[in-house]
Parts: sequence; C-alpha cells; structure tokens
Amino acid sequence: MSASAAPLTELNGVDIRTWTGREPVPVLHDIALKIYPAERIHLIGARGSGKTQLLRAIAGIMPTSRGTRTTRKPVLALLGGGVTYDSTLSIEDNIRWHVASWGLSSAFGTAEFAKQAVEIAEIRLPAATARPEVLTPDEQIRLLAASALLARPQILAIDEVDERVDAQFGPWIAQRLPQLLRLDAALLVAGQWVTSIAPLITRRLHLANGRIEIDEAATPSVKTLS
Amino acid sequence: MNTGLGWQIIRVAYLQARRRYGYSSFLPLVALLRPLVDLTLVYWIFGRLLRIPVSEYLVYLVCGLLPWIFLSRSITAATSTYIIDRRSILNIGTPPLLLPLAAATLELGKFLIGFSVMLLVLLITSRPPTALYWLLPVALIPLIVSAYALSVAASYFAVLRRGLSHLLPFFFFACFWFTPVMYHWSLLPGWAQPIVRYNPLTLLVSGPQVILHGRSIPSLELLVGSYVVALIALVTALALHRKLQHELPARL
Repeated sequence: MSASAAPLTELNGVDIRTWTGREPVPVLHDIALKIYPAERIHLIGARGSGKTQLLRAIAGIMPTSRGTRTTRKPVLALLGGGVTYDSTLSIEDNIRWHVASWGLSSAFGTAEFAKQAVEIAEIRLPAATARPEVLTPDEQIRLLAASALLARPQILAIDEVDERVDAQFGPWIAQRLPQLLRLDAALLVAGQWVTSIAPLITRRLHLANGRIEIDEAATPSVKTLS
Repeated sequence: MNTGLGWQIIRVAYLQARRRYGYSSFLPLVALLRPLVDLTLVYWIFGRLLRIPVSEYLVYLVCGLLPWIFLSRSITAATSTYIIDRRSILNIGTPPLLLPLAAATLELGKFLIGFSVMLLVLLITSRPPTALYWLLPVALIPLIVSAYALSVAASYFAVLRRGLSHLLPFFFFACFWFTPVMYHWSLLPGWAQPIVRYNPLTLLVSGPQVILHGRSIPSLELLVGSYVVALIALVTALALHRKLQHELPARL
C-alpha cells in the first residue's frame, strides 16, 4: 500500500449491523480501514463473517451505525452473489439501468457504450434488443463487470468472484483487470477462493469475530492463496 | 462523469416506462388513452345517465379526474419499488430514493401530457384563455409536491409493512368516493359536506377544478389547505427518509 497517497476510502470506528425482523443484529464492530490508490485487496473470511456487508459499507450501500466513513467516488459495486438484470428490459437498457444506478452521466449509457461492454465481455448477442435470458449467468456477470470497468471507477468492489458463476469468470476478469482498471483505482474482492486473480492481490484482510483480525500485505504474482 | 439527481431520476423513469409498457409504441399510447376511457365511462354513467347536476360536467370531471389519477397512481406505483428492486439496491448500489421519485416522475409525465391536451381542447372548443390560467401552477404545486412526498413515504412504509402495496389500491378506491371528483360537494347532505370538502385529497385536486371549471380564483381557504397538506406530506416523507434510510438496505 502507498501510505503517502491520500486514502480513497477511510473507515474509522465503524459498526455495521443488519436487521432480523425488528431487531438490529451487529455484523462488524469498530472497523478501522484505509484503502489507498492502486491497492488490490482480497477480503477473506468464513461465510457470514461480514465480507459482503463490509464491501457494501465501502460502496456506500450499507449504512454505518457508528463511526465515520469517507469515500472518493465513484465506487462501483457488483455484489451479493447474484447479478441484477431485468428480464423485461433489453440487454442494452439493463446496461443503461446499471449506469444510471451508479450515477454516471448519460454518456456511459449510450448504445456505443453498450456495444463496447458487449465486446469486452466477449458475448455474441443475437440482436441488439435481445433480453438478458439469452445470456448465461457467467455472461451476465461478465457484462456487468465490463460496464463497470468501462466506467473507470475509483474503487471497484466485486463479491464472490469465483463462487457465483462458473470458472470462466475468474480467468476473464484476471485478464481484463490489468487492461481496464485504472492504475490509481482500488480493487476489492471477497470470497473464499480468488485463485484466478491471486497474482494481482497486494493486500489481504481477514475478517473474523465481527472485526478485521489480520491486515497483511500480499506479494503480487503468487499463484495460489494458502 | 457523475450526473445530477434530476437527470438520473428522468433516466430511471424512462427505463421504468420501458419496463411497464415494453417496446411497442402501442402500449404507451394505450397508457395515455386509459384516462380518456375512464373519463368517457364516468361521463356517460354520471353525466348522462344519472344526470349529476353540475354545469359543463365533462370539464368538471376532467379537471378533477386527471389530478386524482396522477396522485393515486404515483403513490401506488412507488409503493413496491424498494421491494421489486431490492437486488438492484443491494447488489449494484442503486440509490433507493431514486426509485419512488422516478415512479412519480413517470406518472407526472403522463399527467402533464394528458393535462396539456385537455387544456388545448378547452382552449380550442369553448374556453378562451383567461388570466386565471396563470394561477394553475399555484394550484398544481401542492398536488405535485404531495404526490412525490407521499410516493417516498409509501415506499419506505411498504418495507416495514409488506402488505401495504396490496392494501393501497383498496384505500384509494374508498377515498375516491369521498373526494368530489365525479360530483360536487354541495350535492351532499349537510352533515357529509365538511367531511368531503376538507378531506386532504379534496384540497389537493380541487384547485384545478376551481380555476378551469369554475373560472374563479381558488379561495384562500382552499389554497392554504392544499399547501398545508403538501407541507405535512413533505415533512412526513423527510422524517421517514431520515429515520429509515440507514436501516433500509439491511431491512430489505
């Protein structure tokens, strides 16, 4: 990490909670975290350890119940073990929906932008007005990731890279990230296995017992994680 | 790179229209014609068959029914937005507030088209424009503010009470009969008049009726009442937003 640069995101004493019925349930406590430009961070933790909630908090999706959070935008998030496509909209309009949701200008929602995203995602569409059901789950996440990469985010957060879709996504994103993710952007990925992008990882955060237990530097180009 | 909230709302409203009406040009036309069908039916039943004693009944009906449709449909459409788009909120970070505001904007667009056509028809047929028409925005502002505010409030409330989206159409159906859209409040028995006349929904939809049908300036009582209703709706929406915005993603 580059401690001399200003952090892109800073969490100080942050608590994150979710709700079960009417009761708030604490998920993470007293999180202190700084994310710097060009960091490639892997969040590690058991199921339910709060990886997704931490990514949501960094992306500004999940509110914090205590502490302070500052983030340099745009932060684009692809989270939650599933992608968001509406079957009543064409693929192109789904891309427009994602772009509008991210608060990006309409220049990112044009037909040309969608065409570029489709090309980067290596998808063959039967027609420009095709619906998302013609895409496999892997193609859907590739297309969403391609749109996010084209939008040149300051922080890109991806959840469960290798688990949620077939193994094709891992190698694809590993190839595209160095080409398309801006050098000063930070990348956060969560999941038990991120073997495909392990060579890019520069920092690992281990989540357990509702906090970050280990925050360690990782050496890029290591092929597997222990 | 980033866009303003207003433009973002319009883009999402456009996509919500695509969702609702698909890609044919026929369905949006049907959506615009739907109020015309409602109007025709109500006019024939209440104006011609039951002969409601209101002069220029069609004009009276149009001036009340279009605002009513806008108000009720905005709130009803916005209610389920957080539930329907929960994956979009949680997975890609769609700002929640964007969804009910876009739903209300879509209804506002339809209302403004319908209302403009109606004004044009009025001008061409029987009613030369008067200076009173400049008062229309004054009467429409509380209606529009209330529609947006209540859309936001209802969408938050629907997350706490999931059955709301099913109950709301019944609520508006009941309210419709207590709002003088198809009849004039003076036709009711004395004891019922204050109930209908000071019904908050009456205050919101009556302004355009008074200006366009009655060709008079809305009373101070009506104007103040409508602005008070809008203010209460706005304060309620802001209070709910302030209280629930932090809990919303976790509650979804």
